[in-house]
Amino acid sequence: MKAGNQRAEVVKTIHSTEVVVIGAGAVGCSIAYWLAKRGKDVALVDRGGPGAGTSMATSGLVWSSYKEPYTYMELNLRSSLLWPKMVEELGEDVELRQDRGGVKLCLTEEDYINLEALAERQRRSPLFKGRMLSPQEVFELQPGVSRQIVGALWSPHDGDANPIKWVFALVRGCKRLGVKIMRDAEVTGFDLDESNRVKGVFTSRGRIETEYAVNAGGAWAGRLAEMVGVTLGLYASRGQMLVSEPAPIVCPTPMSILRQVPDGHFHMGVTYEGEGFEASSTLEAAEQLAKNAIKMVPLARNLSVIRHFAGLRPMPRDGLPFLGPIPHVPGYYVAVSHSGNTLSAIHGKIISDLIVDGHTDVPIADYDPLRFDERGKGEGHL
Amino acid sequence: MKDDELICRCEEITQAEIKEAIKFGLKTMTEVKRFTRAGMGLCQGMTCGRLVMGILARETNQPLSEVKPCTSRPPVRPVPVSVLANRVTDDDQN
Repeated sequence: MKAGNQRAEVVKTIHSTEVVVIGAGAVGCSIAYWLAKRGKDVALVDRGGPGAGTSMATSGLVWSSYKEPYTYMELNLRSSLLWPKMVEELGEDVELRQDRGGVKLCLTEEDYINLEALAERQRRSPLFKGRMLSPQEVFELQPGVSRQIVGALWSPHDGDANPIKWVFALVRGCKRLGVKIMRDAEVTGFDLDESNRVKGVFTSRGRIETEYAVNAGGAWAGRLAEMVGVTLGLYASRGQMLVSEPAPIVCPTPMSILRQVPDGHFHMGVTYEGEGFEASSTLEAAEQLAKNAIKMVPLARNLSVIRHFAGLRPMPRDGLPFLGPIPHVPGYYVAVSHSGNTLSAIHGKIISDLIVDGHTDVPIADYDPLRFDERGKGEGHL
Repeated sequence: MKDDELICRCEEITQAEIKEAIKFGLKTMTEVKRFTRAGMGLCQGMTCGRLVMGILARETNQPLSEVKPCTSRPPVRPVPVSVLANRVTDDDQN
């Protein structure tokens, strides 16, 4: 990238490190933490502050059971198993709940049949321990749910956590390990040498000299990939949620779509909407979320909604992560997925394995960041 | 104002906790809110918002006019779930 080299002469180098991790959300913070733990000198940069993007608008699930194909479920499950280890290491309470498993309700016969078929497909994995529950079994786990339900898919590996506490715990962990956290530093380009290898990252605060750059930009990762000529096949999608006033605990078990957090608030959502970087909240979504909440937990109708918010989520075109190196841009790695909260733990392990050891024992062949990139597949890319 | 004084009454957050968030490196109202929970309770910062802005301005040495409030999100006052769920029906009746 000649343009990049020319700029290097005029842009002041403000810092020098081994790895620059871009994006201080759950994924980027975890990657920075793992790399620092393995002895790398790391700078974690974000255009805002820690967790300013999607990580503060996630539903907070640490979940695997309904994610398909089964190999992707396995990736999520492995990450869920890493969570308690990381939480213990970090030494902070992030409200991780995995002791009761998690439920996904079936409100209709059709829901039940579909989830039962899904569970059967997931059983191709020996790791999958999920099963269908009868209504009675669900009521025991989750007293507050509607008596009209048909059943639920339950998995012992599903659960949830407080995503805000998780990000701040990771940031503290990073700080303890000496990670340099550079906020308000928006990445504007990459400095590549003659062989296309990463040698620096340009930010709004100046150039950072580095051997490796990790794109953990979440919903904004597509732009960071385009800066090195790569198209990820990713779009930003709005997700809206409602938060209720706190209520006595009637749903102690983590549940998808409607979960009661430990302090009693209900989180209702999230919507899956179309493409775009617009993150306002709509009355239509509030209505849909409220109706659905009442169907799942009838007494929710009496609670007041105190906040209705929206966030942008990265949505890969095939739903699967972009995870691994860009071979024709040596030193450039991508770690982006829709399930950034769940997968943050294992993304940290995988990227640190790849950068420190050159390989990882976690299967990632399905998550090639170049699978949608026509230019990246051809020989004439460089 | 003393450090142990409650700033956010809904979530019971003291001035000391807000100062700690700023010391951690947080610079915006939204970041301080997320870190401390001040402004995340029933009133959504209607009571404490201005106080937190004042502390943030003072601790970061910037004029109060430079501190941006948190993103405004609906509802302005708590609204029952049942009202949101029956929105269309209510409209139809009017």
